[in-house]
Amino acid sequence: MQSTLGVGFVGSGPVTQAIHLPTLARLTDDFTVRHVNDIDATLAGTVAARVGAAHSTSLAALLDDPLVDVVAVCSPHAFHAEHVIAACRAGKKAVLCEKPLAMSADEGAAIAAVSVDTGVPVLVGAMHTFDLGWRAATANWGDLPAASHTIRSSIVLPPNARFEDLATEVLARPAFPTVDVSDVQVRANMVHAGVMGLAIHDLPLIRSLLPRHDDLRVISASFVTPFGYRILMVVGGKVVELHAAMSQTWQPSWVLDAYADDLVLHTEFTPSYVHAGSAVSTLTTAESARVFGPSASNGYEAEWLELAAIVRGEDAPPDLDGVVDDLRFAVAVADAAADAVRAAVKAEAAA
Amino acid sequence: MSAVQSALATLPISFPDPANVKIVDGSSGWPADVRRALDSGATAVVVLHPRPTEFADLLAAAAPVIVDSRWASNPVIDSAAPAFRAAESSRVECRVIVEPGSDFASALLDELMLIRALLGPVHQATVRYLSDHALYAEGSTDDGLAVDFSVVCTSAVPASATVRLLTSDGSVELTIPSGDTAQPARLITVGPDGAVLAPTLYETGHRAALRRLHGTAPADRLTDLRDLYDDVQVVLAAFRNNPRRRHEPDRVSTDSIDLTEGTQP
Ligand SMILES: NC(=O)c1ccc[n+]([C@@H]2O[C@H](COP(=O)([O-])OP(=O)(O)OC[C@H]3O[C@@H](n4cnc5c(N)ncnc54)[C@H](O)[C@@H]3O)[C@@H](O)[C@H]2O)c1
Repeated sequence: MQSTLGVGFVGSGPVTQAIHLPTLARLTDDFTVRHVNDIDATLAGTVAARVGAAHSTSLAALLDDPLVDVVAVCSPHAFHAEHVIAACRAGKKAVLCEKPLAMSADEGAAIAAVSVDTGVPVLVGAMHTFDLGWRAATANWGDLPAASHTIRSSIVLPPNARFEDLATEVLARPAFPTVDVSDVQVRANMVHAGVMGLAIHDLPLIRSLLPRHDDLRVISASFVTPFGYRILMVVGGKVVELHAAMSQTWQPSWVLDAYADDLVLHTEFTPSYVHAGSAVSTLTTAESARVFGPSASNGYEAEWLELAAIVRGEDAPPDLDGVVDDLRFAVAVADAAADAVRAAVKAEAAA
Repeated sequence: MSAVQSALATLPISFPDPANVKIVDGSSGWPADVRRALDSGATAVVVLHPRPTEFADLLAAAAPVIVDSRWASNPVIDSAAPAFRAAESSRVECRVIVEPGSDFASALLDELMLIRALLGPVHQATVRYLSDHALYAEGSTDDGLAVDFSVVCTSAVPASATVRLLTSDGSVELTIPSGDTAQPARLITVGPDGAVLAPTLYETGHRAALRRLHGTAPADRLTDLRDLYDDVQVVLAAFRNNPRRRHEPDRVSTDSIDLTEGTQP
């Protein structure tokens, strides 16, 4: 038996290279990268060579590798469900799936069923949910979930490469597709993609402040150029604003705010890809402010450490119903926002 | 009121005879008070934080009437307006924090005056959401810049206004504190070379409004009232078209999305 957990990566794109390999390089007491898989053989081989791991282009080869205890699914969204289910069925010790867990609530439910069936725990690599600066705030926020009435998530990001290139030396970066945003259908799809790719990081946090989300109503939604969205919605009796803008700026800003009449939570996250410690949360009342974080350990480290603790039996496996409900909420927001983008154009045309 | 009075005391050379300046509180009924002040021979009138109400008859006033607006009077405006006007964008956010129980129409009016001072007038605003705790509205400037307005109530953090405009390679962001003290606003311009914090000005908006009154040429003495009048019309129309659409927490409304008519019931 190995003294560390052997990790196998499905997909060896920028996220594997710039997020997970640097993180695992700091967690060598717990993990050893054993296998790197990608449909691109050269990429898999080159990335594997960096960490002295085996490589393959077939999922079966990775799953058959006895040195692989845990599987990290870092393939494109559309394959997540298939790859997670295959890893569970292969009887691995645990699966870490990059966000989003899947692209539909049905897929999510199927994953949950297989996880229960096989006993293989599945974690979603939604690093903000593990972030110590966020978690400390939730442990101290008192009745904020009940009392908060207004929630705002705003994400302003430079191009990913700005951060990836400082986290590692990236191979094979996919080009950003050129799209015709004069087409409403394209804009609706981009807003959908924005929710499933970016808002998805904070929707589980927002959901933890909501008593329910089956009453979701998107009031307005628009695409923000060159890539982003602004969505105003009412859910669980609260108003929620979701905003994201990716541009050529160098200055990132990733904040989540929740307002109650007598308490405000303000959380500042680092951008994705960087290894710069945890978020910093501030809980403010009229009398004082309490600050949580920064911790040296970021959400990526925290998710891997939690996975190790689960495999060792020290921590309970994640509540998959909650994780699937996170996905159900995210898909509902993405669908309703995309619908609202299309509806706004129809309304304009009718006017 | 007394805040303006004490600001008047800090301009002893500009206003050697402060009794000539009448200060009118902007709570409901302020137009009648302004009329009375003018009739009693005031040489100038300052209206503090006026609430939206009709006042067309004042537009022919004989003496200067200056509006001391919650955010737009801040002295940062002189340097912020050129920074905002120079930045290219299609969207700007205007967010304010106010005390619970504040009047939302007044809060929206204050935001409209701020955007007017920074970027130009907004001729139409649509209320998208209104509850006891928050207001969201949308409008646009003559240049087609979309403005996202929000008003959020809390007493946990001090009142403030934030205007943020994101450009293709940076941003212009202005945060104006409550105005109760001379705490300076922060104007930060971000571009490819870095971020610049504009020099801070420790002066209240009340004092800056009074300096403006002192420096106002006779021809411009009613500009404030005319601008206020236009912004008030926008607020009144926005609230007329959008009677309070409070969210009913217990109503399941996933099937009631109808943006074609939803915003103008
Ligand atoms: N947690 C975060 O901060 C964060 C940030 C960005 C992206 N992500 C998520 O991480 C995942 C990967 O992101 P990325 O930017 O590296 O994606 P990517 O699409 O650039 O790369 C994925 C890699 O998977 C490979 N691949 C495609 N199909 C495959 C298959 N069937 N089997 C094996 N490999 C396959 C591709 O060749 C590519 O090298 C995505 O789901 C994304 O949402 C997470």
